[in-house]
This record gives sequence, C-alpha cells and structure tokens, in this order.
Amino acid sequence: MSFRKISIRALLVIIGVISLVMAIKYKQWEIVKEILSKLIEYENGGLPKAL
Amino acid sequence: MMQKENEPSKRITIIRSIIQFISFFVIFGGVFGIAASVIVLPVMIPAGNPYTTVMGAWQLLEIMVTAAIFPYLAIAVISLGSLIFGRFFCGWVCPFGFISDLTSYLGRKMRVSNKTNIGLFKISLFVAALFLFIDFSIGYNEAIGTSIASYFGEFSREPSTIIDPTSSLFSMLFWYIYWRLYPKTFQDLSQLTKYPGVFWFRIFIIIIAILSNYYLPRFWCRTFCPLGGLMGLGSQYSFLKIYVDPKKCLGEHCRLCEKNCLLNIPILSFKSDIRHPQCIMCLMCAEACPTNAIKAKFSLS
Repeated sequence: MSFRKISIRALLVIIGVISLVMAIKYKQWEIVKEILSKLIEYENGGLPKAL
Repeated sequence: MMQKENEPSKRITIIRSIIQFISFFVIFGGVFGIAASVIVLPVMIPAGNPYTTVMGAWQLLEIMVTAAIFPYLAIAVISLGSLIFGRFFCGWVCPFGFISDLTSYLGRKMRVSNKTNIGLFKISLFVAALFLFIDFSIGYNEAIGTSIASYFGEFSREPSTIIDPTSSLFSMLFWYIYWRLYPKTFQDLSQLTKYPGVFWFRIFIIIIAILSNYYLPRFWCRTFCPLGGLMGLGSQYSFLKIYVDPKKCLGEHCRLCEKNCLLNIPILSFKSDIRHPQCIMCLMCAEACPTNAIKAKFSLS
C-alpha cells in the first residue's frame, strides 16, 4: 500500500472520528431533527410570502 | 460465454433500480407516514420538502455553516462516508441520481475522454469550493455580528440551492404544485414569485440537468454536484472498491466494461482496483463483463 493512500486514509479517519465525537458531544443530531420537523423556506426561492 | 455476450444479463441494473426506487420513497417517506429521523446520508436530499425523512450531508453542512455552527456531523458523514463507501450512495441511493438514470436509460450515450471527465470533476470541486467559501463567509460574519446574509436574500441559508436541481425540483417546484401556484394564464407568469428571474433560472437548471442525461449520463452529478466533488476526493481511497481480476480479464480485445460504464471511466487503465473520482459504483461494468472478472469488495489494502 502506497504512502499516499495510507496518509489520505489516516487523514480522513482522523477528521471523521474527531468530527463524529464533537457532533455527539454537541448533540448535533438535534439540529437535524429540528430541520426535518419544521417548515423551512431556504430552498423555495421566493415563494409568495402570503402563503 | 458467447451466450452471455449475446444476451447480457440485466440483473444488476434491475437490482440497482429497485434499490433506487425504494430509497426514493424512503427518503420522501413522510408521504407514507414515516417520521423524520436523525439520519444524515452523503447524498443531495432537499430539506425544504415537508415529506423528507433523512438529511442530506451537503444541505446540513450549508445550513449549519451559514448559521455560524461548526458542521461536525456533516464533515463526519462526508469524510467517513467517502472513505468507507466511496460514491456508492451516489449510484444507489441519490434521488436525483435515480431520475438522471431513468433519463439516461432512454437516451444515446455520448462518450467523453478521461481528460474531459477529470476536467468535469474539477468543475464540481470548484463549485464545492465556491459555495463553501460563500457559506463560511456568511457564517463568519454572522458569528462576529456583521451579517452579510441580507445580500443573499432567501438564499442566505443554502446558497447552492440556486444551482441545485434537487432542491429546485423537490422543494421549490413541490410547493408551487402543492399550493397550485402554477400559471393558469400568461399574466400569471410574472406573478409567480418575488424573484421571477431566479425562478426561471432554476427551472432552466432542472430542465438542463434532466435532459442532458439523455446524451451524457449523470451530467449534473459529474459536472456540478458539490457533494459529488467532495465525495470523489475520498472515494479514490475508499474501502469499498471495484476490483478487476487480471487473470480473468480479456483486456483490450473485449472492453465491454468500458463501453457499458455510465461515467466513461477507463477501467482497463487500472491494474486491479478502479480508483477514479467519478466512479459511482453502479456496477454496470461488472454486469457487462463476460468472464465475471469485475467485482465489488471491501478491503483495507
């Protein structure tokens, strides 16, 4: 296995695991739940406000 | 062997289509009463659709960054997802990928060279970098109290939605049809939205992104998808990979795998493991192989 492959895999594991631990620490799944359970307008691009 | 060449099996195409179909209805499972979950997948899933049950990693990343929250969860899903599964989710789960594939089955497949293919991948990386720059600029200014969100209007929370056919199709158009806002007369055309120019631009993007698959399969995925660009970086080193057995491969005399590949990947130029940023692991190459030399496998090596 080449050095390049090992180093990139190690980098992705370190970034991924640290991010996962921090996501668990800050309970970021609650943000996901909040986004999916309410009506958000970010993606509707100027839908008339009257609605 | 000759019989298989004359009558190629469509087993993988059928299985993949069934999985894409089921995934599509699970992702929009709110229609069937499935409750919203906390699952985040590395595919483009619109959060603006009220029936969405799972979150797309790119959408979560943008929403969190522009709200000045560090997107740990989105980064974990993208980095670990690309490392473990590569771009498997692009090929087997993504709802817009499913629609793209349905269009490409009807069309004539144009082939592009590997140089062009890599160029298209670099465009998707540029798109990802551009929107990440915008997202972090908005988020940073929110954090230090000099908000620039108003410059982006309704796109300040997810700037990439302006070019994203997934959100335009499943969120914006969904609401226009749900609220019956579609034009009934020509006069209605100018009263559809607060931003008519943006609305028609997004409609144009949807039409181009779907119809282009007729000639070049997965055109939007390989050229403009920001998440595809990010996933492509890690997928070249993923544990799940496509493996070509050099002992079984017929080589230059056959090339059926390359002819059948949706993404025009030069499969025979790889010694055994196919490591290409555009490979979505659709297994069309394995389906076409007359000697069963191509397989998907999990390997740490």
